[in-house]
Amino acid sequence: MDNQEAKLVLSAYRPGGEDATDPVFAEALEQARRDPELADWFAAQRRLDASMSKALQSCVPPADLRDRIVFNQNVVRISQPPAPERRVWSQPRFLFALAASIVLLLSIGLFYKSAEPALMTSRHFVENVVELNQSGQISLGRMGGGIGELRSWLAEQGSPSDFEIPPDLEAHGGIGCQTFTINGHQVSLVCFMLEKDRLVHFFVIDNEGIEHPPGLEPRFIRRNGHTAATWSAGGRTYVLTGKDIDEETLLRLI
Amino acid sequence: MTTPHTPIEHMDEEFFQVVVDRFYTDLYRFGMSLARNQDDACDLVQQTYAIFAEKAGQIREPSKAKQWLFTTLYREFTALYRRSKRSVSMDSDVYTLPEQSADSNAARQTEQQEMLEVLRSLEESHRTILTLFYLNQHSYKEIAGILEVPIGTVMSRLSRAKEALRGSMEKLNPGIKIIPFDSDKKKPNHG
Repeated sequence: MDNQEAKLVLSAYRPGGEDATDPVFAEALEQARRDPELADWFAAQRRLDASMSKALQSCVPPADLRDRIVFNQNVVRISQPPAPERRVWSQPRFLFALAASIVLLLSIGLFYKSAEPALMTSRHFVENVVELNQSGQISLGRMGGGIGELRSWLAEQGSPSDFEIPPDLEAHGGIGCQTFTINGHQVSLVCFMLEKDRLVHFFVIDNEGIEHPPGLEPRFIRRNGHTAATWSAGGRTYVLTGKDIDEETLLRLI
Repeated sequence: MTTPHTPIEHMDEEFFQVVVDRFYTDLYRFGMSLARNQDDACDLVQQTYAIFAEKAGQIREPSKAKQWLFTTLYREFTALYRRSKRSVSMDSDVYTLPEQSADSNAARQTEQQEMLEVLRSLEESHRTILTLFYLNQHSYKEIAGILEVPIGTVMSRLSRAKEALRGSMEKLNPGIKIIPFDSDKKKPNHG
């Protein structure tokens, strides 16, 4: 082994000494002990390696990354779509008013990251809407009037409006809607009331804004009492979510 | 009647969190070197663990999980960024450095920041292999497995990448004394 070969091998010798017992390095290390020029080169390289390792250690992830990863573990899939059950609930006027009263201003800028629309993963989209739902900061831009009028209003806002609503969800009647922007992409929201002050929110975004949209089979995410189902169909990605709503309830709706 | 359903992946939560705690920081560093911006690095790490959660039945030991995670993150990067030719940003605030108050620490922090900037200024193949190497997590054999290249290729790529690193650092700081690999002799040509 000449010095050139030794240097090639020693380039892969880790600065922490983890490879000290690896026989591949033994001959090159021995040569570095005997040859002063090689020894100088190796010492300089190890200094550089140590500095770069420390520099890399100084790069730390965002404080919430770990929590986001663990949260994502709750993503589950349903092996077989169950047979749907139809429920029809009455919708008292006062409950409609109650839903409408859960009104806080939605800061579009909260979710608006850049001037140009950017792709986001379906997971990102779901996270955003679940967090939005958890925050309770959803106001309804239009209330009442039936699904047809809600669609018209959404279209006027330039948001998705001709999307498919699962029949068992639509049977509950939409009580209001809203639009907002995530990553520069328009998102439509339709609010449905299942029963006494029990709401579900149905979010729709065009797949143009989604990198790797989910499949037709619904996926479920749970977080702090909120469960969300997401799927994609007809060029759009959907999320159905609500507080204290379990997966089986959502499944009956979609 | 609703079909009873459970998560199809029976990932043990404790095991998952052990694997997260052990590797997510280095995966993020690797992701940062590849994507060169924080948002995309976080996406890569989260996507990697999402896939990991789905493979729960196949990987039951943290030691085996390590190489799998790094390999998966690299594949995800390749699939998401190269294939789509998505542009990656070079944000100035891509590295989050720990806060330090003492002057000496501040100077060291600045130096480390400069070194990281040099690293991320290198071409992708160089910064990829250098990051894997400098994380100190992987032997050259493991790096070969992650990048799916022969062992000899790892060594030759590492020597070339280090040479590029030295060259870039010399440009950044002309006064720095760096002993070159060996500029007089023929460079290895494989990989």
